[in-house]
Amino acid sequence: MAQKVVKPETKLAIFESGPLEPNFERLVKGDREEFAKLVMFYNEPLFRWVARLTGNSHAAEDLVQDTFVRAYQAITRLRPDTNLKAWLFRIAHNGYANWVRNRKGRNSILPNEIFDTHAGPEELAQENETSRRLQQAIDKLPEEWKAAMILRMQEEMAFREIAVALGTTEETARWRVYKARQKLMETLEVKQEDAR
Amino acid sequence: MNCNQTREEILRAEDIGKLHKDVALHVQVCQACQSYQSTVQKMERQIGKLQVVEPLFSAQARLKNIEGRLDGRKAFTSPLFKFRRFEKERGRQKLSVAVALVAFLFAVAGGLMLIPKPVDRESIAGLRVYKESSINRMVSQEKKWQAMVRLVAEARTDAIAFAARNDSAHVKLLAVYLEELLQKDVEKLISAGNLRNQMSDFATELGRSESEFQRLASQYSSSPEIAESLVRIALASKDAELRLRRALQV
Repeated sequence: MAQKVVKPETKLAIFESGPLEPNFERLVKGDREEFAKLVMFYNEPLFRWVARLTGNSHAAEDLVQDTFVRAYQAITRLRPDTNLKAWLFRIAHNGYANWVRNRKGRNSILPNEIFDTHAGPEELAQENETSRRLQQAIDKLPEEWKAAMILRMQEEMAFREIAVALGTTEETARWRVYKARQKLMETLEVKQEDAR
Repeated sequence: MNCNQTREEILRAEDIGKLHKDVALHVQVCQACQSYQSTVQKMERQIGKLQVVEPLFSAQARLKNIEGRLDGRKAFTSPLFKFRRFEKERGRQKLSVAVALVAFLFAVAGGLMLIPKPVDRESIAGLRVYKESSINRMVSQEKKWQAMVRLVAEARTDAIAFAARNDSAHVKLLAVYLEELLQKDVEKLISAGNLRNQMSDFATELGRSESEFQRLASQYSSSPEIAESLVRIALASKDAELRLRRALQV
């Protein structure tokens, strides 16, 4: 009889799983433990997104921190049908919009700062060129297109969720992602032709 | 639909892998559009993979800062300190510094106390917390059943993996956990509502589980502790299966 073979290095479902999602009902009552779960659960995705938008990890840290503080202050006003993830991203986006307004006219930061420099030299050599080109193209996109596009491609949000996060309609969210894709494809195609 | 229209639709799609029927039909027969679709997909994958530096603060440290800020704000707005009695600016400044210092210390201490400890999944108490939070956060009875099925499947997979690692302590822990899950929690769900489809599928699954664990136990006859725990899981599965079938007959 065929036996089910489980290798010793099999990933353990319970013992190696990530942070727990918060319980919505307790969260809206202001439960600090559930709020802690919310921070644990969304800390990384929020940071990833804001770091990409700002291109500055220190600014991203401050914005993510402000996002959670604002979220806690408003948490008891949440409606039962609120999409928690989209709502958090919306708070972060409002913070980002203020940040952009405040830093107009100041020196811009180095976009490359957000890249992880821990990768090995060979990996860097192989992947950096494509990544750098792509990053340059993304940096040139209008802010709103970029925000929508990263939510779709990195956080895999549906257009409906992106609309909530960016405070717009589903159709506008779709249009922004479409324009961003179109622009990136144009830029990359032109560069490929130049390289030939 | 021509190539230009198709490409527009590809760029408009929410998921480029799941195109609208008409668009997909064109892509199927047009090699140029197929290539365009795969280029867009590749570009999206690359963007998804673009690396960002790790956050400077771990989630724990972030939480500590946030708690500190939340508690700090409360302390500063406390009506206990309104500075009205102080005429001189200097006295007010001194008191502000003292209050800020005390508030800061309270905030740090409060923050430290409020940071939840990570769920310890190495003890039966920790596994209970994991179990409760997985089942209780589900609102509908159907979702609770789904959570239960998932928990049992996870624990079974882990028990098998730990047995393969000859880790008798963890297998025993999971046996105790599964017994509790399959007796107390299944009973709770049965009495809360009769969801026939879920119950029937789960019973069948448990039947299979019983024979699987009995067979596995015989394989580990040289490690009596592991074998005993595996038999306990098998018996708990059988028992739960019978209780489910009885409930289904009522």
